[in-house]
Amino acid sequence: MDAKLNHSDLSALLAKELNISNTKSEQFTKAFFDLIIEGLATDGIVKINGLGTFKVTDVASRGSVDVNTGAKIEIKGHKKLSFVPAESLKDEVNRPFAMFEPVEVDDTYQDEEPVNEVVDETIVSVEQPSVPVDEIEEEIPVEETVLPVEQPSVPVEEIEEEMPAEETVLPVEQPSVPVEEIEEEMPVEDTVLPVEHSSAPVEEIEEEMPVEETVLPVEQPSVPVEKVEEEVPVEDNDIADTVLADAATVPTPEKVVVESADDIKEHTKETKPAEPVAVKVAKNQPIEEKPKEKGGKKWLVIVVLFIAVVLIIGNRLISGDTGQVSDQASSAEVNAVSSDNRSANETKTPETVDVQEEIVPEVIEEVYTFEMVDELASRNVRSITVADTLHYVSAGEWHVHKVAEDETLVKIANKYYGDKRLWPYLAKYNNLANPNGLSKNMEIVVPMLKARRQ
Amino acid sequence: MNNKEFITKLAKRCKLSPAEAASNVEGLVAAITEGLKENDQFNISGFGVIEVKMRKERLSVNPKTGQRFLVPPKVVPAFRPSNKLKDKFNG
Repeated sequence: MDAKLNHSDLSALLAKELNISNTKSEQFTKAFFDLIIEGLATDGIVKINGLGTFKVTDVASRGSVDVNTGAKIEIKGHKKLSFVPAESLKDEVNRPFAMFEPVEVDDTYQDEEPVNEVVDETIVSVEQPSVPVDEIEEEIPVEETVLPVEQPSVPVEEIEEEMPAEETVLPVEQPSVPVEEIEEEMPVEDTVLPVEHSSAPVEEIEEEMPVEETVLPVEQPSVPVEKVEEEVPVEDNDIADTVLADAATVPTPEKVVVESADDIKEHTKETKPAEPVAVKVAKNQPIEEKPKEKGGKKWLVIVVLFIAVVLIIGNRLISGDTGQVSDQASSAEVNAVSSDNRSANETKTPETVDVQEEIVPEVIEEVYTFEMVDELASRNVRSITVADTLHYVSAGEWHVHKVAEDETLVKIANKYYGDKRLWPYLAKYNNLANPNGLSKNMEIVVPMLKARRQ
Repeated sequence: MNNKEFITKLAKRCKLSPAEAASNVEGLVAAITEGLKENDQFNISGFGVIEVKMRKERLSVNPKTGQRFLVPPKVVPAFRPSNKLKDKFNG
């Protein structure tokens, strides 16, 4: 092991192997190596079975440079002794490493496809959720649009502009009940009209979010209407002492409304990017509150939750088309505003109006930022979906491209398809074992690509 | 000079029959092979050194196809002529 053996050691080994005397083996080995040298001198080559080939080769003279002076010098040609081991000797010596074999290294090509697959999955997941949302959006408004009309119909006479839209949907159920209230309220509302201008900006904002406002009334209309009649008088005693003279039923709810509306504004702001919700809540409240009042707190919670849900849905709708709904909605809002103002006038508390106006600008900002975020998100989703390169099938020959120098499949794909990511189609169509190894003047067939899905 | 010529000349020089010489050469080669397998080094004065060398693994490229291969490490037998022998051929 790792021993340095000299001539005599080798002859000793040989003597042991052949069972001959040391002197004899020593003579033999000496003759052996001497003959090799002799043979090299005469023939220049000596072949020995099982050991290998000794050979004398010529090394041609070559030019070089003197390292110190930089002058050109010539290295003269000389003879060189080379040894090529026999296969059997090589195999024997290399036995410990015999199980290793050259492995082809293929590190560039494999990365591409997994990436595309991932993209594909993400697209699918993104698309699916969006579908149900649309369905929900379609279903909800249908129910809502019918019911809410009941209340807007009340102020119809006072506000002439937006009337038509709502009237078409007029509810058949409770016309009798509200009518009485309306009559009582009428005088009060007349005074309200001028105040609407102060809240004008609010209406503009609300046009964007039609869905939510129409939604609110949906929940309470049937139950509350009856309640209103019974409960109103009781509350008059408690709260609206001063207002008794006016309309007995009307005033109390509105006071309550103003307070609760403010509360709701705070809640909605904290919990969600509710944007316009706050304003709308304030305006919707008066309408709803007539029914609510005593069962109020429960309803408030439910309403707030419902608004939040509808808002999220509504935001998606905003980007799309909301034209029809917005008409009704805006009219409904106007009504709401008027009724709200009503309350303000009746109770003669200008502060409430101010509160609403102050909130409006903040709300607007929130609306826009939220929409932008939404848009960005949707854009990202789209950009990913466009990146999909798996949706093509190569269909027939299109061009035959002669590879120029330094050209790659990526460049060719970019030239013909305008998308460098489509290069795998070239590699596959041409059965290129090694897509990196294009040679000059090689002919690449560029296939037509057809979309796999519509 | 091929193996046959080498053996006949060796037999003549050692006054052995060609068959004996052949078996002797075989024995010598076997001894050397065994020594090399044990990582031994034969230092024969006036001739040179017969030894084994480690070759590390390396990446090689097939220039025709461009395929890249990882060539595993291996052990190879090598001969290093002595200075005396080299001088003899380069006068």
